[in-house]
Amino acid sequence: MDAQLKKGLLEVCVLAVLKKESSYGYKIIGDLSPYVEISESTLYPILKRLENKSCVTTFTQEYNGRLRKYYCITEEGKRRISDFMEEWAELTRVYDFIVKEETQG
Amino acid sequence: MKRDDFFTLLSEKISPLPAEERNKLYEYYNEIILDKKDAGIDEDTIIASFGDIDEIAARVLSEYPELKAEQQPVHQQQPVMPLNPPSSPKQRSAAVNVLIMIGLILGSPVWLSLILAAAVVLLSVIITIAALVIAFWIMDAAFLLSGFAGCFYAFWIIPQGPAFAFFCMGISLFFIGLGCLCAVGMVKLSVLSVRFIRWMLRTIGALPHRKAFQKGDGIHEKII
Repeated sequence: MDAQLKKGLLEVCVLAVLKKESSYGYKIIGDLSPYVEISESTLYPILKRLENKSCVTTFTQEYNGRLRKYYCITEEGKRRISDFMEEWAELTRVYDFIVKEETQG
Repeated sequence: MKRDDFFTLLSEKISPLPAEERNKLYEYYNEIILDKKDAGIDEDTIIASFGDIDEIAARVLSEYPELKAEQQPVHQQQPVMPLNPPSSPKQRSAAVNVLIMIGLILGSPVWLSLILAAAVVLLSVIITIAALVIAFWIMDAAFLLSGFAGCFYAFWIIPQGPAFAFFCMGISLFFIGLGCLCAVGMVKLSVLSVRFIRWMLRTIGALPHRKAFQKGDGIHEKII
């Protein structure tokens, strides 16, 4: 898959996980692993980008005698998911057109 | 590999990052390690699952495009010095400076006299403008003074001949009016002359530019 496309897809995947509930690094990877290949080194830059774009905010909470960083989706993040859904519908139409042309050709 | 070794290696690889960003990355990986340990995975397996440290560092550093320009391979940062290294820009500029100084000293009889002549011409222009303005002001004062003196004189001579006295009064009032009109014009002329002299001095660099003043004030405010 194209690296840029995958980057964008993973960002929306992370946002989709966070839309359900605020989460932390290890759990986000665990939630996404059945659907998409994602490692710790891939997730960190994604979270950082999302934070820079104000799509997520962070807060720390005590767990097991230590602090754990939680990521929380923002309104901007939710808007990003909606935008992606709209773009995807358009992309699907283009895909169908390409498949049709290929089949006929 | 143990956790400490992982962080030591990672810190070396991400050294171009600011301390705050480095700490954020350590916290992220430390948290993942602790979470995985809580899930019953041993430390060596956890560290191994992270993959190649170079790749981790590269992915993180790619998020900082501003650092890309500074990042250069080690062999480029420490170039092998040739046997006869070319003189550095600093050395070259020092040599040029010395030559310029020698040129300035040797040419001083010419440029110093030229500068003096230019300064004298400029000074004479300023004096001429100032003299003209002062002369006009004196002329204006003369109009006003003669007008008032004429009025006084007219009152004085009324008993001797009213017709001549009124004539004197009319002339005197005319001069007072002329003096008032000239005074209005002279105020404008004086302001324009001062502006012209300032502009001339700024143009030749004898006075700092107006913008520089404003900028300086801004900085001053900031410092305060």
